[in-house]
Parts: sequence; structure tokens; C-alpha cells
Amino acid sequence: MRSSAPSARKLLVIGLDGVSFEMLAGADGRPSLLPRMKEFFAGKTARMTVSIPEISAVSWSSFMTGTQAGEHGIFGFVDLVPGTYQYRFPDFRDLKAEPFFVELGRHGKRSVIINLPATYPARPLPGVLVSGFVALDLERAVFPARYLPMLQQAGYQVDVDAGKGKERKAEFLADLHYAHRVRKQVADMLWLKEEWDVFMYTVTGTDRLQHFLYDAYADPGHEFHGEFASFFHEVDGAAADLLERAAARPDMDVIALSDHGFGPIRSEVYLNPVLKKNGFFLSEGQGAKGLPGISDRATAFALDPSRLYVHRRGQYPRGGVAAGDYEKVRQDLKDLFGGYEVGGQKVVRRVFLKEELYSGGQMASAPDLVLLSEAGFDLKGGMEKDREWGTSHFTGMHRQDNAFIACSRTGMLGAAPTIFDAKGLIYRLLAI
Amino acid sequence: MKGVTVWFTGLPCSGKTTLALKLSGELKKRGILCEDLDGDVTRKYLSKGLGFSKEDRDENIRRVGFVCSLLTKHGAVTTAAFVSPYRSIRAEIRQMIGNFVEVYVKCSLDQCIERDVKGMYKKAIAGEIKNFTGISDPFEEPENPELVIESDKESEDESLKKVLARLEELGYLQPAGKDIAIPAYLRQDLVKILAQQNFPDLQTFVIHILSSYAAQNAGPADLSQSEEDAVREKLKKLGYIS
Repeated sequence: MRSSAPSARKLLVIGLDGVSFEMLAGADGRPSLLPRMKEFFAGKTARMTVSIPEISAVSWSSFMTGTQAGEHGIFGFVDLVPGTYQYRFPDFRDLKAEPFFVELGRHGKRSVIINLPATYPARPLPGVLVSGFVALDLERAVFPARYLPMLQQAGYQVDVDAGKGKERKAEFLADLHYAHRVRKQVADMLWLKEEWDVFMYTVTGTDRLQHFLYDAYADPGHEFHGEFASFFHEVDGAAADLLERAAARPDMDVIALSDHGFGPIRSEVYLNPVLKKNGFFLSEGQGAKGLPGISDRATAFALDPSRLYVHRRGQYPRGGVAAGDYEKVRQDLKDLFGGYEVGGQKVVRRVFLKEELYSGGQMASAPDLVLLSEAGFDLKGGMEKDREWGTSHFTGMHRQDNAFIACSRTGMLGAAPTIFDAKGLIYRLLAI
Repeated sequence: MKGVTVWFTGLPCSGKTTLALKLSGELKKRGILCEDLDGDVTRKYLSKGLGFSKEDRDENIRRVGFVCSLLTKHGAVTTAAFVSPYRSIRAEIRQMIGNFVEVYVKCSLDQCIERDVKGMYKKAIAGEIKNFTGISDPFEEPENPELVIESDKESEDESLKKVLARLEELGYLQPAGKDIAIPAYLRQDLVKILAQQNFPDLQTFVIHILSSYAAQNAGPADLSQSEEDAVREKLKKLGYIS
């Protein structure tokens, strides 16, 4: 890092995708998976709630903009093209609020942002951006382009092949280690080479691992139990290396956080089959498949992971719900899911009306209702499923209520921190 | 692009200068530093006083060859359109210049006479001009030119394409579209910026500028079908869409 004004505050941000408060702090007789980080942040760590739905695209967008989806416009990994039943996949170009690392440029601050999800394709900022999930092409994941040859030469991977997590777990683990080591090397190089005020290093392998091998974390007898801990050990070492460098700098503060927590899956629950069984979702006729085959008598449908849409007239090509019936349909949906059970267990902790979660200029794109599940019930659209619930090869699921945040300065986190507060914290630490 | 002299040789009125100027016009469009030399210019400024005896003709070509060697050494592309009828002097300047591409512009004598608007052939045939190549002085055809153009059988555009293709083949020219034409006045500023901002090369810098422009001006996400499929697959593998 080149020299800069001595009074300027610097900030290191470590993002650990999907790491729960319990994994950092240790819980239920299990020790911390990140002991060096835990020690560094002793007494300065808090449980954090995140966006609803609790998925990376939405939550990291909230982190970087300090807004909820009604303002930043990213409601999920998938959306519908307005006025159609055609799926589209929003990316960084759809983000309607300004990320802190762009905004900081107006304060003369430069940022290095590595592997932050929901930032693809990379766009200009004062500093360096290496986009994270869902990045497709490294050439479009790097700004400025002058770093592309260096990343290519280093063997930088924008992502690992998560497909291997299903059946080729040993290979999947090896890929996670390799991708992370290269990423850390790139981070080390940028730490030295770039002039920066904010440096953010994000690890996404922690999320990937838990989706496929959460059972290995929970079960000491599991074939991959040691491997699970080993990957976290490597992440802890990389984080500790950065933390030590930060600790040696009196002008530098540190935040570490996750975008959502994690927990074990008891059952996946498929919302569209539930809607079908209860008469909300009807198809046009035999052979009509998926959302394009929805009938004009259908009153609601679901998009992944937990978003419900009223099939309103004028909004969708075959929408039949008149404006006067909108609230009744919403209430019916609230009643249905509020009382929905699997195996005698309540599935949905709370049904949110959109106005309870969102406000702002992007409300027109918001789902009409969003479900927050009870721990263990992984909600999915499940449009093609012929049953309401079941299990799959996934063993871990996101949780909204057990993310974590930690700050090197005491007294900065507040009583019940949320992901929406993180941007403000960054500004306070930078004395802006 | 590295410097090179493209030497057009052939009978008077065979089409050498026309082709040389077409080539330099195309190269300039691509932003390549280019200089044209032909007999009319050099006889006026470089070889004034020399006649058309074999010795004088060789001396004229030797001087032109020297100028070409300097231009070539400094990275320019030089087009030289000269009858240059004798093999020995062409061989001598080839050695002097180094990066030398000999283009034989072949044309039948009848066709050259037909194209001769100044009536020089007519005067030579009538004996009014002495030592006139093709009539009263020999033209020694190149034995191993880099390229032969048959200007009485092909169009000017076809000939130009052949020259460009040969230059690409010999590694003197990047194919059009892969090279970015940057005017010289800008190039100097860019070189300074590259040095200051630590860009490894001009191409990386240009990509940086273009990607910034594209990112700032791109509309909302508009993925191609293959990109959309790739995103869908990644999301499915993680169970984020079903």
C-alpha cells in the first residue's frame, strides 16, 4: 500500500458468505471454526439479522448500499420480465442504489473490493473491483482491466463448479481450497500494489461448502467432517493474516460480517405445489408447464426462494385478480402459509406483506408477500415439483437470523445490528 | 507495426504508383505511419541532375534506397514506386533496407502503352526519348519477388487486397479489425499515461477505457441466451432456483 495522508482512516472488511454467528463464536458444545478471528474480535461480535429473503444477491446488495430491496431493486436471483412470464436474472447493472465503494469516491476514498457477490459485471469505481457470484466471465469481472492479465496468470477463478458438490465432494473440496488460495494471493498483491482506503476480501466457499456438507459439520463421524473444518481453518488463517496486518496499523479498523447465517435442513418445502394444492395456482390445461402455462384463473404463484405474487389483472398477461380482490388474495395467502405445517411442524415463522419489508422507488417490482421460514424448512418455488415437500442432496440452508458482524472498535455495533446498518458503520469508521 | 519498405517495380505506366498510393491510403486509415516515394518526387528533390543512363538510374535508386532504409529503421512503412529495371541495384537496396517487400507490378507492354496519357511510349518508339524502359532499354523481371501483381488482369482493389494479405502473411501487418488505429498525436499522450498509470500495454489501456465506457453506458441487464443459461445453471447447482 502506498503512503497516504496520516490522518485518513483505513478500513479492512472481511466478508464470509453464509457464516453463522455460532460458527464464529462456537455453540452447542462445538468450538469455533474460526478461532483466530474469534480471538481478534473477542467481545466485539454480534449476531446479525439480514435481508428477507436471506439470499446473497439481496443481502450483499443491502450491505453495499445500506438500503432494502425496495430501494436497491434486487429482490432475488431471478425475476420476471415486466408484463411477461419470462424469467430474467438481475445483475449489478440492475442495482438502483449506489454502493458505498462508488459513493466513497466522492469523498476521495479508493476501495479494493474482491469477490463481493452481486457485483457482476464489474463497473468503474475509484479503485479495484473483482466481481463475485454470479460472475460468468473473468474478463468482465475485473475493473480496471489492467489487472486482468495478472488474475489470469494467477489462475484466478470467479467461482468453483458447485455441481461437484453433489457427487464429487472430494474434488469439490479441493477446488474450494485452490480457488481460495489463489484469491488470497491476488488479495495480497492488491493490498500492496494499490492505494486504498477500504479493502474488502470476501470468501464465498464457506457458503458453497455448507450447502452440500452441512451434515459433515454437525456430525463428527461424517466422512468429510475433518475436511469441513479444514476449509474453515484455511479461511481463518487467511483472515488472521489480514487482521494482523490491520492490527499493526493504528489508522486501520476492521469489520467482519456474513450476509446470512446457515443451519441444517429438515425439509425443503415447494411453494408452487402448495399453491396448486390449495387452488391458488392453476395451469391452462393438461401439458401446460411452469409459469408460462399458468391459467387466467390462477390467483398466485411463487418465485424462488420464498416470494409470492398475486396474479393481478393488468400486471401479467393472463392475470385475473381484479384490484378489488387483491387484498383478499393476500389475506388468503397469509392464512394458508401462516398455518402451513409439515410433519406437525409449523413451516413459516412469519408472512410479510411487501409494505412491511420494502419501501422506495422499486416497490413496483416487489413480491406481494414474502415468507420467512422456521429453522430447518428451506423454502423453494419448486415449480416443477409434484410434491409439497421433500429432501435432496442439499444438507444446509440459509438463515436470516444468525449471521454475524464484528468490529475491531468497541461500542460500534448497537444492540440488534442488521445488514442494513453496515454501510453506516463503514462511514462512521472512516469518519465521514 | 514494424517498419518495412514495399518496393513496387515494373514498366512505366504499369500501375505502380496507383497501387502504392492505394496501399498507403489504407494503411493511414489504420493509423499506421506511412510515407510515399516515387520517381516524380525523388527526381525533383533527391536526384536532380541525374539522367537515365544505367549508372544514373542505379544512383537514383541507391539514393532512394538509402532514404527508405532510414524510414524503415524508424518504424515507418514506405511505399516506393520506381521502374527500377535492373536486378543488381534492386538486390543491393534489398540488402541495405532489410525489411524489404518487392512487388512486381506486371503489365503487358500493349496495356502500358494504352495507359500512357503523357505519350512517353509514343515518343520513345519515335526515338524522341532515349533509354526508355520496355522500348529502348531492358526491364529485368524480378526472379523472386515477394508478390506479383498482374495489373492488366485484376482490378486495383483486388491488387490492394493481395498486397495487404502478403504483408499480413509476412508479419508486417496485423489483420484489419485486430489493430486499433490511433492517430500519432494521441499516441504520444497515451504513452505517457500508460507509463504513469502502470498499464502493461496499449491494448490493456484501450480495453480499460472501452470497458469503462460500456459499463457506464450499458442499459439494464440484457444477458445473451448462453449467459442466461450459464447463470441458470450456476443458480440451480446451488439450489437457488428450482
